[in-house]
Amino acid sequence: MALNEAKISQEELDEFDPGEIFAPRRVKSRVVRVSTEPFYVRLIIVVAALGFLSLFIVLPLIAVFAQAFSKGFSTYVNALTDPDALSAIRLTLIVAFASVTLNLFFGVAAAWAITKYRFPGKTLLVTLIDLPFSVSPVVAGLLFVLLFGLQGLLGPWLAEHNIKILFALPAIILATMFVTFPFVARELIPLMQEQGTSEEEAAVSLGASGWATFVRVTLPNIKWALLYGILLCNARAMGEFGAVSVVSGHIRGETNTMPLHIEILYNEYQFAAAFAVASLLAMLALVTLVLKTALERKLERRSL
Amino acid sequence: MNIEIAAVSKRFGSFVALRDVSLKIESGELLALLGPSGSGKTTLLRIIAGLDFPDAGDVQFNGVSAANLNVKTRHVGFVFQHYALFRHMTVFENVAFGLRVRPRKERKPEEEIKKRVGRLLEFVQLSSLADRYPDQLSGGQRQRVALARALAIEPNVLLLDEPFGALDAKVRKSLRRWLKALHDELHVTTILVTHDQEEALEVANRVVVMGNSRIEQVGTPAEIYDEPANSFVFDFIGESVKLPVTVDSGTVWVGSRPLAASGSLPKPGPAQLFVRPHDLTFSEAATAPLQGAVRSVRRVGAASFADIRLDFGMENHFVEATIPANNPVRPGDRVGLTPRRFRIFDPSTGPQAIPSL
Repeated sequence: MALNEAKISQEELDEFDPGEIFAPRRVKSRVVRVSTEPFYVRLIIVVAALGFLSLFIVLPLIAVFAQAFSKGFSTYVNALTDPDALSAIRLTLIVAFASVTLNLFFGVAAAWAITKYRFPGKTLLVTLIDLPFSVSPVVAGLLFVLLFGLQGLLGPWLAEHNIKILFALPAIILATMFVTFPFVARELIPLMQEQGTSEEEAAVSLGASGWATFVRVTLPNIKWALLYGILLCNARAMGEFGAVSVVSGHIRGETNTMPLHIEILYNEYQFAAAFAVASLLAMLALVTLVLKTALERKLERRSL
Repeated sequence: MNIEIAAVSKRFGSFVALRDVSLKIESGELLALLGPSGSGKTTLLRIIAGLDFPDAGDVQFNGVSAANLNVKTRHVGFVFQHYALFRHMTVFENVAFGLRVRPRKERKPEEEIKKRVGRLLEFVQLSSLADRYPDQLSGGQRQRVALARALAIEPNVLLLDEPFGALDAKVRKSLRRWLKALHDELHVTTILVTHDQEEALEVANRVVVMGNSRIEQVGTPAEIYDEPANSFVFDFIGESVKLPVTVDSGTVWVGSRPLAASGSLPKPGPAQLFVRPHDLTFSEAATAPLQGAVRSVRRVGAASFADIRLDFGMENHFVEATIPANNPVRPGDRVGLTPRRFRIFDPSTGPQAIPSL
């Protein structure tokens, strides 16, 4: 096969067997300077961007850890092993696990329905998926108070049957779910749209059942995007403050999640303790960031 | 397996994809569904496969209605336009898929699956690439994997949706011959959808020309080319020149000159003359039914062609005619053309024709 650096025709590309040649065959693009700004302009822009980033993100992050350890390591450990703190951490983990699991299920179902089927109300569903992004979390929380509160729609009935939702775990999970619902579906929809339905059709035509098709064909194709969605969903679920704050009731050791616990400690002037718990959330953010970058690389390689 | 399609109709919203289509497909034949895009050919194929269901009509396999069978139970080998290979599986696993997803009691032991897939890969000449992933293969190789995967389940019928559409001309040609050889060997009933007439005419035993959600003509490749049933088929298959003529008391008039024709003519009035460029002979400009001026002369390989503008008043009608070796023409020459074989269709009633001379 003749190698023409300047131009590779479509025929050649079609016939091109990547197994034959692993040597670089990519067309060398002529380097064109897009930026024509003078040096000092570029310098100002770069410095401004980096300066803003360090001032508003890196500096506060350092401050969190500095404050957390300001009263020494033992105070830090004490703050984290305090029974109320431990309860808040446990609750946060439970809530995050529950809401991520449920959203995983609903997110995949919604993405599946939207990308693989035609049905009335599809556009409405696509719009509704984005609703939690556009509604203030506090409003989302109030929504559940209106629904389950004693003066609310279902409140009296629930009270009669002795079912506790508001100011208890169920409401916290529901509020968190509401706020984090879009993450999984949002990640999956564009990918599944791009992949189309022909691989699934092929699987079914070869005799695979619906479940086998999902497990053997669909799931492997979306797994990285799914993990990405779970990651973002989890980060948001653990950090959610507004919606949870409205529905939790702030019962210490019972319905306080980590963000709520931090607020209480802060309001009680226990700065070191507040920042100690905050440092846990900050570390979660850092871990999320690293995993997110790794997953993004995987996703990019997939789509190549 | 023979397949009978009985009065099938299908619409998508307001778009009518198939209008009362009936067709019989004999066991073991290689049939091509040929038509322009939007003619309903892919819809018909998907209905045969059970990927779509008709709004009206029935599909019968060996005389038994398949209305209650979906694509999973129809046991068809479907090859998709863009292959639809499982991108996260190796070539081997792709081909083995249909064998592995069988219910446990029907599933063959691993040994046998391995042997079978190995044989299939040998058959499609891809044994050396068994461990590759689809994105490491060329288009032609992917197509062969898709075929092997469909053949693995020993399908009752092989359905191919524009199988060579995404390949370049050279690979397409060789794969076409390969498919024909494969069919000669396996004798599995095969239906091929294509918009490429060359492909349909070369590969298939029988060609179904589709247009406007209907079947326009069914016949052998020779019949389709030599005896097009109506103006649509004449226009769609091969090169053709379409000229307005007038039929009047047993004579066909091209402008003011008569054209000798036999057989039954359409009713008097305006009609359309269809002729293939290679059926035009150069003749005396003064007496020939068609005359015009040579605009340009081109040579393509061994043959020379003349672009001729026919005299048709204000209308522009260009004809590309092959120049005979013994009669060279130059741009500007006035020439006469006599159609040796042609057809006349009544534009209002459609497929009325008179046999060629």
